[in-house]
Amino acid sequence: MNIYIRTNENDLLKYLNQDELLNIQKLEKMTDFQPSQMINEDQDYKENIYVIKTGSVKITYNTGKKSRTIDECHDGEIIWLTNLFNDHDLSITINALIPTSCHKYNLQELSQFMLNNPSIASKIQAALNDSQCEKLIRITQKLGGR
Amino acid sequence: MFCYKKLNNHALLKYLDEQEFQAIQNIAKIENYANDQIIISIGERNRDILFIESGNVQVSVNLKGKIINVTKLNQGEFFGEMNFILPLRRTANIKANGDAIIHRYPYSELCAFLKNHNLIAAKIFCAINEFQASKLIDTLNQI
Repeated sequence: MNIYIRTNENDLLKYLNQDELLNIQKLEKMTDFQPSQMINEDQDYKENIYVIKTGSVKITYNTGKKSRTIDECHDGEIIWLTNLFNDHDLSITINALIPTSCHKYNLQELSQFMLNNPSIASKIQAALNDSQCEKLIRITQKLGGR
Repeated sequence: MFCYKKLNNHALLKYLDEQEFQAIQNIAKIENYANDQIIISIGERNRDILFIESGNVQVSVNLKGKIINVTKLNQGEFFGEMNFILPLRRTANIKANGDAIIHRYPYSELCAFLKNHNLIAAKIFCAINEFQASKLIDTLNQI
């Protein structure tokens, strides 16, 4: 999106300025995953947004008997959000491909923070627009066999 | 998550209160289309967001040289948001399916407006995020 200017490598916080970053980093926690470890196996995943600091993850979509790798996310990317904007809970599994370190933001805390800070909220929503749009394009191309 | 209260049935502006709604409607251009008239063509660079005020539109794509109808969009829905977000060329043809009234939010005016209205921007981007999430789910359901 051309409204804001990117200031850093974190795809969720990329449009925040230095002061805004300092504020929101108070909410940030770090979490590490070993290769092949499943990232979304417990409830904790649904209560947080994960952004990869370093590493890679694989997204697998499960349809009945079939599973298909549909995407990979790498340094700086927001990991797939299965239920952030939609009640529909997709049947996907997310596994670390290599040792992966993630920034973790609790959704409730982040939501409250955004409600109190419209300037930050607009920049984070814009960053989520970008991230979802990129994923949608990657998936469409992948399914189209391109 | 990121819940704003839904205040109307406009897919793009549903979280805006009356005052916010009127403010952004000032930049909307109202366009009337007759049946089969082209609204968007594949390859265009414009990045406007369009909202169907009345009627419906037919979406078609170019698949290996053949133009295939993929879906219809109805009154109350919006389109063109992916080009608003990323600088892509249009990837679908969209034409009126019967008479249609379209509200066009021109890219430059919309960006300038949103840059100066943080809360409205957050609410509109949230509505776009929800729409994109639905599209992602629909796409995956095709597997």
